[in-house]
Amino acid sequence: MSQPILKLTNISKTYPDGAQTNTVLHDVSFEIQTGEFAAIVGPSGTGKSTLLTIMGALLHPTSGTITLAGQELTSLSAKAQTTIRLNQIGFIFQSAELIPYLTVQDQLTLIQRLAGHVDLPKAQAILTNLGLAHHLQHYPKILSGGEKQRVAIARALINEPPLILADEPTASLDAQRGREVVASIKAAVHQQNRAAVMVTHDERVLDLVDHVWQIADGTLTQIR
Amino acid sequence: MFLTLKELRYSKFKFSALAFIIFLIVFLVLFITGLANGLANDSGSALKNTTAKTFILQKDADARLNRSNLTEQDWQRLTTKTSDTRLSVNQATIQQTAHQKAKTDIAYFVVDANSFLAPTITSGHQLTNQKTNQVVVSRKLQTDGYQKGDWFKDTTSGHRFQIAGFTTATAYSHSPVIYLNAQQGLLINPSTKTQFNAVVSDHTKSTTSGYQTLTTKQVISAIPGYSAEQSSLYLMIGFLYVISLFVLAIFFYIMTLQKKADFGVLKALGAQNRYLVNHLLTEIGLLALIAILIADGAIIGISLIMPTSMPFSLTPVVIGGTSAIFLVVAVLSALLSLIQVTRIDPISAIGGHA
Repeated sequence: MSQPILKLTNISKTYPDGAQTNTVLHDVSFEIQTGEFAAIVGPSGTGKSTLLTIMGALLHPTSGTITLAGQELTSLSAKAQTTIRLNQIGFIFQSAELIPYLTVQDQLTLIQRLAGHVDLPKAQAILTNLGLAHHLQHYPKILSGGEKQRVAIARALINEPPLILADEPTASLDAQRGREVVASIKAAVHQQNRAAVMVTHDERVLDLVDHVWQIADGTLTQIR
Repeated sequence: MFLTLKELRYSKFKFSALAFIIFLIVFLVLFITGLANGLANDSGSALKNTTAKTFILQKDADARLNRSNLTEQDWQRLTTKTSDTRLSVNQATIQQTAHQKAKTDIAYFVVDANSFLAPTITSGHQLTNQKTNQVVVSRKLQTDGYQKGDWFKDTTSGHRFQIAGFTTATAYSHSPVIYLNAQQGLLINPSTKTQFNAVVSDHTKSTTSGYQTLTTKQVISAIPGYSAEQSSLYLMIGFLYVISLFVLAIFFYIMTLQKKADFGVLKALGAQNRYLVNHLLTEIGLLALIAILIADGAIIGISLIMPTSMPFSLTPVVIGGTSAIFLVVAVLSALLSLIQVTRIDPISAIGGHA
């Protein structure tokens, strides 16, 4: 078996809470291979979001190690973390979080600009592939929730990151649109050979993912 | 720049409002500056526009020309350079011979027509030291209807002079200046035979005990009303700079707060602090530049159609300087927002914020 693209080993995260310490994640280990789509489920307040921020180079764990594409993330500077997020990770947020003053295609070219290489035809091709060809020049405010989330998927894919992280991508969508969005992520993962981790409490879409992990009281276990 | 232009284009109304505020303040500052400069000229240009460097006055004259009385004896003691000359100033009223009723306040400058205080002619004939009725007057008198060749009467002495030529719009204490030679001076004020107000030099001079040795600037500042006008106008200008700094800072800060979530997302997506700081600086810089250029254009336009009697004067250097200060003020006003932006934690993008 090849090297996992993302590997978390014995990750713990504690926060000071008055005189005590509050343990959010307790000795969590996790790995995912390229071409796999994993879901992390669990009720809210169990550390799902914290785990995702650690995977996404937004937060340092209190202890344990995390490697992404062979690179150790545990002790990077904030600036180096930002560069990792730009080039190695594609984020899909809970409610799309598109920039209101950018057209659909500019949402993608902005990310290309940040990385230093603009390729408009590539951005248009990704959007077209996600069924957004007629919205290229539109602002986010006229898009439906499902369309916004598909733009967010396109934005996460534009710099060809090896890892995609999705934070409750179906939270603001109805069942059918939510399912379509998860199916789009699944298709991107399998067609373009990337790895994706999705945090969700939407059990209806779990048939679309390859692996399911459950988090409870800061402990992570693989259930499928 | 990409993000900036896209945002300016999208939120046209919001940014136009901000640019309009900048425009109004810059315009007002330029207007008051023009007024301050105009009034300064109106008060002291007859002294400022000469090459005079030093004025020597009587000891207790409080730097006021009209309070200083010097005699021939003082003259002998004080002249050290051949270019040194004497000056008498008399404030009076004149009447145009053709329309007896209209009186005009003026200031007589009794000067040596061969000295550096002699007026530079813009039209007509030079002032001479001959005993004639031909005098040179400030172009400011034209706004009161005086033409070349017109006769006017000194209301006190009743003596008549004819306008031979005009010099630039020189003024002393808001009155146009009429230049007389020593012989003409005697006709309106016989005491000028033995007394005069100041020894003027186009060199810097060391102090002589028993006299007041002053720079041209000091003499101008002592002209009645000059300091009061200038300091109150410059106080207004100073307040406008401070007010604009705060108004712009607060306006921009609130706009930044509204975009906090967007900035968090951009950071999570991989935008470095420097990119976002540049974005904000370009935004305020570009807006301020556009607003300032429009204000500059407007003030130049207004100054062209302003009546000449209005004391208003703006040089390109003053307009450029004010514009530059404003650009700095606008950029400084963004400081608070910049600190705010660098403090936004990209984690805020995760977990939603409905």
